[in-house]
Amino acid sequence: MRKLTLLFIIMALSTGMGFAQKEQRRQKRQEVAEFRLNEDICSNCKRKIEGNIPFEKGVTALAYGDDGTTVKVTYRADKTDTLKLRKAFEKIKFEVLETNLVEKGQAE
Amino acid sequence: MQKLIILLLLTFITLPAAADEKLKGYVLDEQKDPVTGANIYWEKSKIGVTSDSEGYFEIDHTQLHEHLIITYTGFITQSVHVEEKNKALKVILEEDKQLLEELVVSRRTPGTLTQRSAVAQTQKVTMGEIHRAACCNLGESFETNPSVDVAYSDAATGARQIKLLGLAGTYVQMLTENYPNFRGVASPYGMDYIPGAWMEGIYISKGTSSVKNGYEALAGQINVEYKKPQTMDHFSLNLFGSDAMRMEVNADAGIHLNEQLTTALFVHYSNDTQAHDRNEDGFLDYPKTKQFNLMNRWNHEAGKYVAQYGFKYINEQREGGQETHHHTLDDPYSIKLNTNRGEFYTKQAYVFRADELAESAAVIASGSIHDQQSQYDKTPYEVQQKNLYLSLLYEKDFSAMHNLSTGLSLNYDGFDETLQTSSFNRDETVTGAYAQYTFNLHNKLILLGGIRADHSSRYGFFITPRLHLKYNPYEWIHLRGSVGKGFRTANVLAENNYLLASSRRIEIADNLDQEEAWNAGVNATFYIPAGDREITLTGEWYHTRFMQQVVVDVDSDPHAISFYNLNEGRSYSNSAQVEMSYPFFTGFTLTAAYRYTHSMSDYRNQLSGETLFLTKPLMNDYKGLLTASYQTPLRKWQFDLTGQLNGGGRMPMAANTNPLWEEQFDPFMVVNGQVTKFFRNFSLYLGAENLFDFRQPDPIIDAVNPRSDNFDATMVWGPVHGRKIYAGLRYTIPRY
Repeated sequence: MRKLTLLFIIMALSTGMGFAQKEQRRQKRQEVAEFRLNEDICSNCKRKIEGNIPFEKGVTALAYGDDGTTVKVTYRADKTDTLKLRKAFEKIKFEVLETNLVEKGQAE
Repeated sequence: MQKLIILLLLTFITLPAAADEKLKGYVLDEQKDPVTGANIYWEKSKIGVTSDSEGYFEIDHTQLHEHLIITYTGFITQSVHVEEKNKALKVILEEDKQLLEELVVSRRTPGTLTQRSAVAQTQKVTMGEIHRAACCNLGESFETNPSVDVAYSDAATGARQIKLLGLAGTYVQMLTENYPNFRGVASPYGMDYIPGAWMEGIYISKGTSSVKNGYEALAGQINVEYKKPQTMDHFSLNLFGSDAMRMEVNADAGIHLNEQLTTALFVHYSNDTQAHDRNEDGFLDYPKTKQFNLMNRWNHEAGKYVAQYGFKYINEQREGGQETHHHTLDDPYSIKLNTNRGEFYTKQAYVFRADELAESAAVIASGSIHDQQSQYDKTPYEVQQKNLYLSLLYEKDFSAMHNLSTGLSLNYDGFDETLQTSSFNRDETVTGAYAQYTFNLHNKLILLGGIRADHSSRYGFFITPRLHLKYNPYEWIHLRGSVGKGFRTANVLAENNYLLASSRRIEIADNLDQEEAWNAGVNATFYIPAGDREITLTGEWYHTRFMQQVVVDVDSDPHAISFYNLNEGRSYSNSAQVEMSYPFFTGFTLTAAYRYTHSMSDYRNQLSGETLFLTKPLMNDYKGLLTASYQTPLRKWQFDLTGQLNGGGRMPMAANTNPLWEEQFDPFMVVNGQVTKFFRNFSLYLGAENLFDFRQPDPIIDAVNPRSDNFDATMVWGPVHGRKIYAGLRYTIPRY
């Protein structure tokens, strides 16, 4: 048991670094949507967004727009859509004023 | 200095309940130029204004308890607790060097930050850094830090010692919440008294620090900040278990009772009571330990008046010695320690002005009772230390350039100490006063000079001068220098009672003097742009010279430990360190560091009168550290790996005929690794300490005959327990 756990750790550590990149390559159809919120995104709001939105199914990247009120979400089109993501924002008490599909996903 | 005051305000102050007038203020950049068009708004009410060409703004107060947020593109967003309604606020925005066209989420803040603005060289170990290792308590929080070493003092009691700048931990002043703590009898085991999960951050400063906290801190200062009820999460839980069957539970909750009153409750329980004897020397590799730790703190803010209260209780039981689980022994050698410690503290602050010319007064009071009942085989050692500390502080900015801080202090230590049948009761009261002046020339040149005068009931009057200088001709280079004096009262038995885990005779000279040393150091930190990131390069050198010291001599006689005054003898320590860190790509940071330490002291053989000038024993010559951390873009996974190369060193002198140990010990390497997986409100971690299972061979001398003249468990230079595999869970109900 002890050796097994150790083996697992060594494996996890050595493969860990390339893990994320590999995961991204596997993903096929990515879409990017912009969500304009009803308020300026304060530092605590960022904590809230970063603590929740990445854990929505299908979300692969997150960024903020220059205007201080939009969040750019990259996600797998086969796993989620803008409607579901909008609901996710509402669940953490943000109102979404506008949803923009910036990049339509294309199959590789 | 202003930043210090802002920091003080942030720690102490929040918003009053009702407000009727407009809040006025200025937004400036680091060069004190006005920032035009900055957004200023209340965090919850979202009422906002922008600053004009003078950087000036006016904003209505709100009824809510909320922060004022100041944002401007290209600058780090500031969140300010506004306390003074009627005085103009001054906000200094720091340029965000990391910021590009678009803000990328999960741009990580490094775990260990060199405080750019601090006058004295100060490093902050953040919660993120603490979470990089198993980190059950303070003693285990420095595994990724090149400056601080934590090593076992002996192979039987589990006592741990910090080493900084090549000096023993007793020369490092320990502070919690910025007041002195864990002095005297608490020092050998104090590293275990602060659970990792309770901490918000650790500040490490090297060299003599400010005179505000007293005359101690010869080598440096370590300040632990606990989580604050105002800002901490609603609830957090940490469960930990290791393959050695160590179990640990930490829980804390922050409760906002009303706008003015907040409280927090912290609980810790750990149980490490499995017997382990992997090297089969008949002795437990480390003692069986049980600890219960409880803390409650309160924060009360009413306008200009801020008060904090805290209470803490610790019970710890340790049991070491011969392993009786698998061996039947008629009369096993055993070490038992039972510790009870109670603490309280309060801070009361009144802020007269919180604008650019701040003025405040504060009282700090703290006290503790520490009771240790111990049995080192046939030798009972009982000690009770009572401490009371009072401090009165006043601070005022006369202008942007001149600041004065002054205060009075009183410290009482009382010891009731019994070793076998001899008692060593004593007490010491030290009253003192200090003044500290800061000259700040546009934040480019800062000069901080402090002096304090104290009177000890045992040692009479003494003066402690200290001087710090910081010069940053350009934003990318920060030069610091410090020189100062430090004093300390040695409590030899209380601070070294783990030495009773040997057959050595204990010889304590009469009339031990107060320890006295000069410390000087220089430091240069460069922030070199490389790509869109920054290389941080730090080089430093520190020298400590003792004018008077209580020498701990294990060299003159292999069967004795002697404590005596250095008197005319020589004792010094040199420490040089270089450190470099670079975030190679998003989410990845690598830090490499190398430190060289050289400590020498005179050892005087009491019988022959012969004096030997030797390097300090059991001290590593150097330390190399390489630590890497990677977080995936959405912060779902984190990988940490740290390698420490610890240099060799000198062993205490063994007997001439038939020596039982080598003259030197060899360098050794310790590797730690951890993987963390984050979920929405919790994270799981799995890791290994001492991955390659390095252990010091035979850490206990003559373990087979623990009652012989040769028995000695204190000749420890390396890890006494091997690989530890652990896993745990952190759960939080966040406060946004």
